[in-house]
Amino acid sequence: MIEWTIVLKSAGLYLVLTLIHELGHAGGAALGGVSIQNVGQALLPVPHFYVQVEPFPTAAHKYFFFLSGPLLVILVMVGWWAVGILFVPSVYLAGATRLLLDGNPFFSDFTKMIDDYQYTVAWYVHLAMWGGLTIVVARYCQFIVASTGVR
Amino acid sequence: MIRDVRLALLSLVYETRYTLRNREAFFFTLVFPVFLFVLFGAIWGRSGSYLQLLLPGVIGISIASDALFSVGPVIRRYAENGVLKFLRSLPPRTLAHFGGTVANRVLLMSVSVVLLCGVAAFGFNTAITKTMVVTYLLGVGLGGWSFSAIGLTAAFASESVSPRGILNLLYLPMLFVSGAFYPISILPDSLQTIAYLLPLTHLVEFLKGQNMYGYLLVGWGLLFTAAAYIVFCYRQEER
Repeated sequence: MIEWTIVLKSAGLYLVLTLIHELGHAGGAALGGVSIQNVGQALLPVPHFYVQVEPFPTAAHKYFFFLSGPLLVILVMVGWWAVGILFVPSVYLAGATRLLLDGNPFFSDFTKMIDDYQYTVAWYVHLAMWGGLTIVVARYCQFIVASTGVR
Repeated sequence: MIRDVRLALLSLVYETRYTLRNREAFFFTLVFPVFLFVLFGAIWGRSGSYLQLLLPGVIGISIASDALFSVGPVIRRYAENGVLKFLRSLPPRTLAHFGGTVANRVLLMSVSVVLLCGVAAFGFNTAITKTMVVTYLLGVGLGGWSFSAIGLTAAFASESVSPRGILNLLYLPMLFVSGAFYPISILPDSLQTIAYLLPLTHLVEFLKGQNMYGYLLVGWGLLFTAAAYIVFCYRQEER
């Protein structure tokens, strides 16, 4: 049986990381001088939080805004690694899930950042790299589970 | 009759060309199921028994998503932008046109099943028997029919909400409890009870060789074909 307390703890931490991700976008918009129009959550096409901003003045503003969310999450995870808690199963599971969702080629900031990106050759390369990263992260998760004895 | 068959065949050719040329449709019909199988197979497939669970699971969710999203929303779009009315005004029966659409989905899902079996057999050394392939192809027919009917009903159920939104709300919870990626037995008892009431679980179990679930799929197909007919007629009257 799955250890459901680990799953619940991970879900809680995942929610915190999601809020940090959105905070990163809000910070990116503020630093770039782009006005935030709305911060909220939506159920469709899949449940998600979002930060809505006014049209970007330049492409650099757009890239900075979209990358600031995932970058803040990575920064927090580096912090967790520095204090030695990143490889605690619930923390790793939450962090890995957030990282993989942030980089996924289907419904992430990357797909909004580059126009007409999906299903191009570059996108297939992204898909293959993301698939490879998923395999590495999941196998390491299995290693943590095996070495800590937690299921 | 001959004219109808000819139109259905022409429609099949046209739809197949469209799917192969449409990058999104091509990806989700033929590449995505293989990608999912390779991904999960590479992570957890070191034991052969997991691959025997994963293969029917991936085939099941591919059939369900294809049937749910490529029939109902398309016909609703046709109804909204007047294409359906136009098709009705033509001498051949509208059903002949949609016969080609359905044949196209069956053909491409069958190709997808063969591709998946090939990847499982040659990439992961999974034993594939003739019975398994026949069951999978039968699953394409039965699952395709029942989930198309569910998709059609959901697509016409509400005029204000987008059909894809409704279908995502139906499909995603089913996906996680259907036992496509892990055995249902690891879920809590209450979730297991819910899982065994859902059509996607019935399709996945049928593909795993539990023939009894085929009858349940026929039941879903009949129930939702009737429901789709009623909802469709009601919406047409409203217009």
